[in-house]
Amino acid sequence: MIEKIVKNVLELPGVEGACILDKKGVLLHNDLPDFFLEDFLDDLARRIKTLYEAVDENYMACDDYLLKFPEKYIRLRRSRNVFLLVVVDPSVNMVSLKMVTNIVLKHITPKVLSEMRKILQAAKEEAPVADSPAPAEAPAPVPPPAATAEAPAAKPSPSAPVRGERVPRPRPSRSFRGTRY
Amino acid sequence: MFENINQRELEEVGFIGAIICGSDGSVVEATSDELEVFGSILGYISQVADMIGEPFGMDSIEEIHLESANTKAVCIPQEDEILGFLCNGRANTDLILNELVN
Repeated sequence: MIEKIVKNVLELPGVEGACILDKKGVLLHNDLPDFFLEDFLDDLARRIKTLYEAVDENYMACDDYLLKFPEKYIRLRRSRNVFLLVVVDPSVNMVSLKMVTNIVLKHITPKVLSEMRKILQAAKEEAPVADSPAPAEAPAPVPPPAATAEAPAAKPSPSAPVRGERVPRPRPSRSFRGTRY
Repeated sequence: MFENINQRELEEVGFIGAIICGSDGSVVEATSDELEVFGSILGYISQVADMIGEPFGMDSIEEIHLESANTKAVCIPQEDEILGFLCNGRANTDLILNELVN
């Protein structure tokens, strides 16, 4: 159900992705672009929570933020239950975005929230089962015997990863503002 | 910077006040003494908002817009200073920013 509602946001021209976090910073729904590595989401959730808490505590409660970066804008919205993050192009219609995100926030009731948590929990429990056959199948496609020494290092075949599931992939060495990732 | 603005004219379109803070949190200039509390959060929210864009590979943040029930605020980090201004919930922040900066 929530996927259909979030789809309304994603269909808006200029919207590049969205994700929903609960108040503890747990990722409940991820529709961010695939190039965005989930490894960074922990930091992202922590920073979003910090931003809200800092302003709430030291100034006044603000539910909506628009972070304008040179390339993209990030719209942050908060309801009683969740944080909604939407990455948009500067050309997006902000009024339409507000209208459609209002609907998302309205639909995420405590009941829907608990359903989303159950789905997340089920996906986590299924994840080790889905991962375990992969290494067993990995040595099979290695035809030359000379390559057996490298067989354990061979990567498991990426068999259609489910969205939201952590997929192990080689991380390129990057540097951003002096910090190496 | 605020000497040249027509504050009365801006107040008619919802402007409440503006403040410039240094990177150390000190108030450089303000249209009113009541803006100190607002000024005190500018430095920190600029840093955190900047870090939110980091995982997306974005460059330094240009503007932060905050919206509460009745008030809008804008924070603009500059080289060594941060400009912030407050307006009421119905104000056109882009129009006010244009008047303040130009």
